[in-house]
Amino acid sequence: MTQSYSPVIGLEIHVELSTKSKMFCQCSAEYFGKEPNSNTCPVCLGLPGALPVPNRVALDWCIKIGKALNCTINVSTKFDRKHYSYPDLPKGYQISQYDEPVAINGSLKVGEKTFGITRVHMEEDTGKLLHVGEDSLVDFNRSGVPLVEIVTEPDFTNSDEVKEFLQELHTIIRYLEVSDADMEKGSMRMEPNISLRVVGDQKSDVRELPNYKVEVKNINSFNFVKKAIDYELTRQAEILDQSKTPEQETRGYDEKTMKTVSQRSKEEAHDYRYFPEPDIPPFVFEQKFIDSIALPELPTAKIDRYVKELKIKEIDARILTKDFELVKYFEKVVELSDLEPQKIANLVINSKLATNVSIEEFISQATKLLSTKKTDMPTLMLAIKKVIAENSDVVTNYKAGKLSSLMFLVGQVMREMKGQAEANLIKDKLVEAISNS
Amino acid sequence: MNLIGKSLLELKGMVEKKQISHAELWKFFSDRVEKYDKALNCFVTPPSKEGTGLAQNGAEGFPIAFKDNFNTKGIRTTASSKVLDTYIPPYNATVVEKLLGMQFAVFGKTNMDAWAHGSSTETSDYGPTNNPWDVSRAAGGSSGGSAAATAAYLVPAAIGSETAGSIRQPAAWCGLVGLKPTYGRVSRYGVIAMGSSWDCPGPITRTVEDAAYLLEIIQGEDPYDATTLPAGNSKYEIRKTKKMRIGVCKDYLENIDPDIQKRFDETVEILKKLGHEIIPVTLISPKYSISVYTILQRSEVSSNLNRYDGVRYGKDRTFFGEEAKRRIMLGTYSLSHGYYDAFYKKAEKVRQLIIQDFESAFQTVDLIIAPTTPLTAIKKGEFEKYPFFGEVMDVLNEPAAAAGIPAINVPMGLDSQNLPIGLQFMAGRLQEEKILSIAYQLEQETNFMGVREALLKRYE
Amino acid sequence: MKKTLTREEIDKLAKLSNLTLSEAEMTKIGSQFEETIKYVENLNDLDTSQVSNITNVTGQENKFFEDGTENKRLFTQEQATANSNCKKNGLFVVPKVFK
Repeated sequence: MTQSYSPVIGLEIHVELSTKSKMFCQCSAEYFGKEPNSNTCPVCLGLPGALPVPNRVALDWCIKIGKALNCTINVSTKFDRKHYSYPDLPKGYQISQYDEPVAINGSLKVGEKTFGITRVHMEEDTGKLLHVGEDSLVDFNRSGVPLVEIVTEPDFTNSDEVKEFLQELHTIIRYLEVSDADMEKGSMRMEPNISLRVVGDQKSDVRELPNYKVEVKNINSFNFVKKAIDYELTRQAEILDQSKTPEQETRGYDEKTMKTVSQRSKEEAHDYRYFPEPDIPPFVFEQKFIDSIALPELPTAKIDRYVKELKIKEIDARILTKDFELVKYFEKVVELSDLEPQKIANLVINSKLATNVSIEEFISQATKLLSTKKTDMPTLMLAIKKVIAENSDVVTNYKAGKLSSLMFLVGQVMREMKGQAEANLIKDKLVEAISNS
Repeated sequence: MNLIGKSLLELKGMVEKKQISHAELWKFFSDRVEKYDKALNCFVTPPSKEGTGLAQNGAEGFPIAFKDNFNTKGIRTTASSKVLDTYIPPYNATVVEKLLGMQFAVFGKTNMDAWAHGSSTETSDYGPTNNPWDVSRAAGGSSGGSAAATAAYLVPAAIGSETAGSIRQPAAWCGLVGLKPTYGRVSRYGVIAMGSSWDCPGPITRTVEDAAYLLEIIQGEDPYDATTLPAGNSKYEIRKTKKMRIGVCKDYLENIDPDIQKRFDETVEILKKLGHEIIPVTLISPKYSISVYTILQRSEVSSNLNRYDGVRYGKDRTFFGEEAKRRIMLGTYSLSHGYYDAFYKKAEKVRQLIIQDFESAFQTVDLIIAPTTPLTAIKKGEFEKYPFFGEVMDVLNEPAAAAGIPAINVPMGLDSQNLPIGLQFMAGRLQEEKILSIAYQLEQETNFMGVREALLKRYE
Repeated sequence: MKKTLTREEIDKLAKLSNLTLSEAEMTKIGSQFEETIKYVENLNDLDTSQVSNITNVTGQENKFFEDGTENKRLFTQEQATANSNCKKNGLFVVPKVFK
């Protein structure tokens, strides 16, 4: 008898902040592409005697992310040491947060469903471990870069939900301008915890979590998210079908084989021996300081405003608001011109006009394009007729070869049309009309 | 020119008056190191013999020795452990930078208990430092090398560090002034960490004025150390003869050597004669500080030593000595899941009690006087008998360390075995001026009962 | 509170601490452990129920540095790797680990 299963998925997401300095020292947080081990100092290299001092902006931005995810921001927060031994961890512990994180109890609505955010906290990144041939090598350029960790409740029940959630989260982070949140570059990393609950089992409470979970690492792009999760769900179902329990472990996603592969056993939960970081005094925030950390208008609110105030169709609003750079551009165009927002949206979404030109240039081109569509041909023909009739001597001059006469006539028609026709169109129709007269 | 026994300030004065050059001073002390250090083993890295030591910008400098847990750029730093036998720091500790900026130079790196784990400098991987008063005895620790070198006048003064007793105790056993500043007064940046919430760099000197002078240089808030205090810069007017209320707690007089008790009583009389008021105070028994210190320090040690994996510097963890392993293991245990609440958290709370206890005591007194150690210098090898020797020997030093308050050792003569006796004064946080001032008064009044001169007769 | 540590527990602690202990060290440290733990239990004599949240020993809060402050401590690749005797092309060579 095959049982049916309900997936239980929770996410752990790491966002690398785009601050200027690292989390605990003044080394640059921009480590990408630099010569190995050329971006370090005693602190991020973990030399004997070095001490950490926290980066103020990094903490502000962590609060910002927490607020954007509707969390409660803790008035008291502190750092803790998280101990484990690994070659890319220079101090043998990571400075992170344990029981007093920056933010807790948030949520994010994606589509119709709301997903719980357990916590948002601040920590430091490790160095980078590389495998070259037979060697394992470490580069500490990335060591100490500020990382914000976001942990969700196990509220996801399928891979589509996860993908949509991640995309929405990515967009929000871009709006906050605190990170590139690029999965391929590693500035946003995601690890799902996946298990299956047996459905219809009278004994088990539907609110109870399964007695195991599998963590999947190394999912390096949005495209692999769905594949990795779906593979894992199938794999676990097959084991459960045999009345066995999947092993609690960490697995890695292999892009080539499109499978998850066992890495190391998680059956023995790590004993991280957390204790408060003695080198960093704790933080106490005044509520008015927390309140002062401003958020930009976030996607959900923006879509709402576009629909209600700018009269844009919801589907178009959704498309526009996915890209923060585009949103900024679009809103500037709306602000500086009196073109109808929906029409501007149409131009952009249907790729009728490029957005890699200056705002002024865009407005000018858009104005032309849009006014062309508005020209009422009968009105135009009447106007042309009128102008020809009232300016017969100019018409004669044009027929005689005086081109400037034509331009004069175009100007007259434009006046008649009150700017509702475009010059080139007028010219063409005028020439036609004159040659037919 | 007979320089023997001159204080750091006296020698500095001579340099300023051009009576002697840095180079001549360097040679004078280097010759003494050559002559006496074989028997004492004060230095892990002796001062460079080629010419003078170099201060900042390559200029010549005034000799001062640093305990070997201070990162000194370009000069090997080992914390007296084979793990760091080959480590040459690419940076200076803040304390070192500050002194270099005042025309001092690094006159060698002194021996210590490996990783500062100990109270006798016997756990050093480079051999023990012998007490200049009796080379069959320990110099004290963990700043034993700094103390022995200063006492035998191989260097005019030295910088040490104290986690709980590591400045005061060797100062007591060697007959010197040893100052543990308020925690946070002096930057720990660049000091190889032992107990992060305990470590205090501080001076070991022959005179009280030398200690005050050095403290004024090395103190101050440091942007590289988030635990340093904004109020960290002070001027110490120690010649002010203020009358003070001095507390005595009988718990600090339990199980101490009769000679020390006797000297303690004599000193109390002297203080009364000088016009100070002696007031009995009640404090939490120091025996609880042993537990607080053992748990919290070893927990922090187990964490701070996690970075030594031999990859970026030094050798791998198989080079750790037995004492280090023992402390790491107990620290890991206290922090581990299931034991954290019973040990670490409980010890943290008791530490709060001790802090509050001193705060309330200092409402009624300005200072507290106590012996620095229950015994004078013990024979080498004795420490092996105890599973937590260091912590037990430093019972009288641990309370002040736990509370982060300043304390000073004052050498008060010799005992019946001709070994120095040390007494200490403790004061409230940031009240170094009080302890320096009382120490200065005793120095003026008693000349420390001739302790300093007595030793120099044997180290001419 | 349990005072005697089993051989298995000492093994586990050594692993967590990333240390290798010899047989002799295991035995010696094991018994010394017990003595130490027995002593530190005296902390239970003291009532700490009224002690509030632990703060930093100095009582300080909110210490930071400003993002973008000049980096005066930057190492060159040469300086960063100078103390290592196992490096390749500016990278540190480490014992082989499974990905």
